Amino acid sequence: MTIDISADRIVLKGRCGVEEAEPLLTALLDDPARSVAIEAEKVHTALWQVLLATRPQIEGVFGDTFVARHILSMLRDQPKTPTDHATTPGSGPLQRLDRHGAKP
Amino acid sequence: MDELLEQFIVEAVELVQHAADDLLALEREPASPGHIESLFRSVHTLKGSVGLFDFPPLQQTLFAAEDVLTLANRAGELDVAAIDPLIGIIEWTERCIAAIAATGALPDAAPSEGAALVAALAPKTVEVEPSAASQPTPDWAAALFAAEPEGRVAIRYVPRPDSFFSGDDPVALMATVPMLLAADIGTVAPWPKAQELDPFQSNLVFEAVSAAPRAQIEALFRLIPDQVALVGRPSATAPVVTPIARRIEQDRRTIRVDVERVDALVDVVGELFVAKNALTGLVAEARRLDGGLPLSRVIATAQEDLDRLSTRLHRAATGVRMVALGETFRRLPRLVREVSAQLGKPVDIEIEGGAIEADKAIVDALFEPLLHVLRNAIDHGIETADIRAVREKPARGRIRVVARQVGYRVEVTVADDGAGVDIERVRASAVAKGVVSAEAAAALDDAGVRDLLFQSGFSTAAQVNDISGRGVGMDAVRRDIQKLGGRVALDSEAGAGTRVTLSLPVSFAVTRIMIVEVAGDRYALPLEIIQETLRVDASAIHPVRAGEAVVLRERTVPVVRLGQLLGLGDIRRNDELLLVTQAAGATVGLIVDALGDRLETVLRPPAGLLKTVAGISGTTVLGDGNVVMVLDLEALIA
Repeated sequence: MTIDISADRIVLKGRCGVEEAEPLLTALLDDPARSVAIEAEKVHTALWQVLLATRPQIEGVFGDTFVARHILSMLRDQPKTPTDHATTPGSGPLQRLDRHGAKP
Repeated sequence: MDELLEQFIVEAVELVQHAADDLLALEREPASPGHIESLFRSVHTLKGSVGLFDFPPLQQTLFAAEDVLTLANRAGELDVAAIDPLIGIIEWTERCIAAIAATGALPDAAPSEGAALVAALAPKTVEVEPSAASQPTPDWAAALFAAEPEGRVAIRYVPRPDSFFSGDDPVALMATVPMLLAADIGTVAPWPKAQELDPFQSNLVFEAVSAAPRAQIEALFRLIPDQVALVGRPSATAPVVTPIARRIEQDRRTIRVDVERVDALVDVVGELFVAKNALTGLVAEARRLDGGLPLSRVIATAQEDLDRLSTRLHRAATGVRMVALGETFRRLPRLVREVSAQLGKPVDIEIEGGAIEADKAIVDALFEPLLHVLRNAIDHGIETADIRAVREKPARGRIRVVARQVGYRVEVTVADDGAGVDIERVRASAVAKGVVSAEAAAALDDAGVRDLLFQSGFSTAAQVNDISGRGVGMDAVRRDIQKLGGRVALDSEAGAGTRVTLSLPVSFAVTRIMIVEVAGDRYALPLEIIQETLRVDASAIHPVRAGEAVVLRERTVPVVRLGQLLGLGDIRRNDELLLVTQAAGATVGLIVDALGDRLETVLRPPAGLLKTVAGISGTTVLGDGNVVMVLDLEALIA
């Protein structure tokens, strides 16, 4: 198990594979006030997605520059309103690229 | 020869082989974008490399092939009509490279041959499609280029919703994009309520711009071309990636080393084992000294360390020599295609187990015997289409080449679905050719008759042709395989097919051996075949028909006297020393005079005169410098 869940905090550790996305989501659904500390060396996209969609409080620094620059910054900057902001155009970097159903 | 040219030849041979593999795959399945792309790459790189030298006909011909492939690559499908001309070009290229390797120049006829090959390809080259440069740059890419003046490639990556299930990790992949200038992450659809989120479905869109060469980015996304759009900067500012640049990129992770250098290393490791064996004697000698016990313990500890390290060193050194059987196997489909075309017998070949590795010497030497076996299978085994129709078999013959690893050996079977060995015809033919007398032939059972196929000078082809039946048949196969320390077996079922099994050592590995003494001579036996050693009262060994047997734990085990087996005479004792061995799947008790040390050694295949002696699997040098023969019990008893 690479995610530790306590009453007020979820800690991601080691190498978090795709299979951890479900427990992470469940833990955040159980108590959306839980913060998430990222101490992992590797986190699968599926978990980033859960965090992007649920927007919990994030702690910790993730070493990978791509993740730090592009995902953590997004998670920290965004207001904690999981669903409604995504439909408001032009309110942040996430929406700017929001092309529904687009294909390359 | 010029070093650059030598390097070119080595690479060109590989590229031609890759190209041929892809063409054969495309012949079966023309709409296979992966093969088209890989084929395009091989031809493109080949053309680029040829450009470094002065071989205009070769370069022009490859250029024409590349043109056709560029269009096919874009369309994701190769025109079936182009396959034969392309195969022609690749085969001709191979001949040209062979000529360059031999003489440093192209054959005289190269310009006219090349022109003819290009002409054969021509009808397909007239369909001109708009080139990439004239296609408009999509808005998203234009915006990225506008924001990042240094950007060379715009990337838009929309992972398939189920991409996590294919093992993709899109964020991790994006994190590896070199020289990333900017990136944005969006969603395909707005995030649903958390309760409705499917955590295993990707909903992301990545847009990014990189200053790296396009080829690098393409390589990164090569496995998921359907999920990514790459757009180059529309102006001419992006420098073209030259084949040399790409080659340097590829070379960074691998080095080419002359096999001789690796061999020298493996040899020294072999000698190290011999030197190390001397310590075993030293331990015993130290123990015999007055108060030498502590010293002998210290030596024994040092020996253990040396054992461990030299085993690791040996594994590392032989590991360098290990290559995949696929290197030899991949040449087979072309060969089969060629032979089946010559004989007018359509044949499909299936290959399995190409990833299994063995020593390079073994993998390389496997080609010739496999070639003979395959030729035989198509020529003698597979029936003509009419006969197959009568026998209600599929019109296309089928040959399966399967490799599997069995302990320290690799077993390659070549099975065809042809007529099987015609026992009566082989019998008659062997008599007619004087290989065996009529009486002896009549007395042989089916297996015995099949064994005649391995006799030298045997050929059953009714008509002598240039495919097989030149007298270099199964006898040559057996000889080649035995040289490698291997065995060949052939079995066959009338009407259903023939199966040839080649069994070879994986490498010239470290073998644990036990020294035994018989009639004053020392021999070695592989420790792995020895199950236990026992003292047995002579009265417990009972004569059974021509042989002897002993009852061990309520099982009757045949007993063989090694001295007798080797023709050295035999000494009877009141209590005999019995080695219980496992050979050829049977338990056999082996009587020897005395047991010696257990050693580790690098077993060399028998060389010179010893090669012709059955029952010897190799030789090894002992710590005292004496050479002992390692016995192949299975062959001795057979």
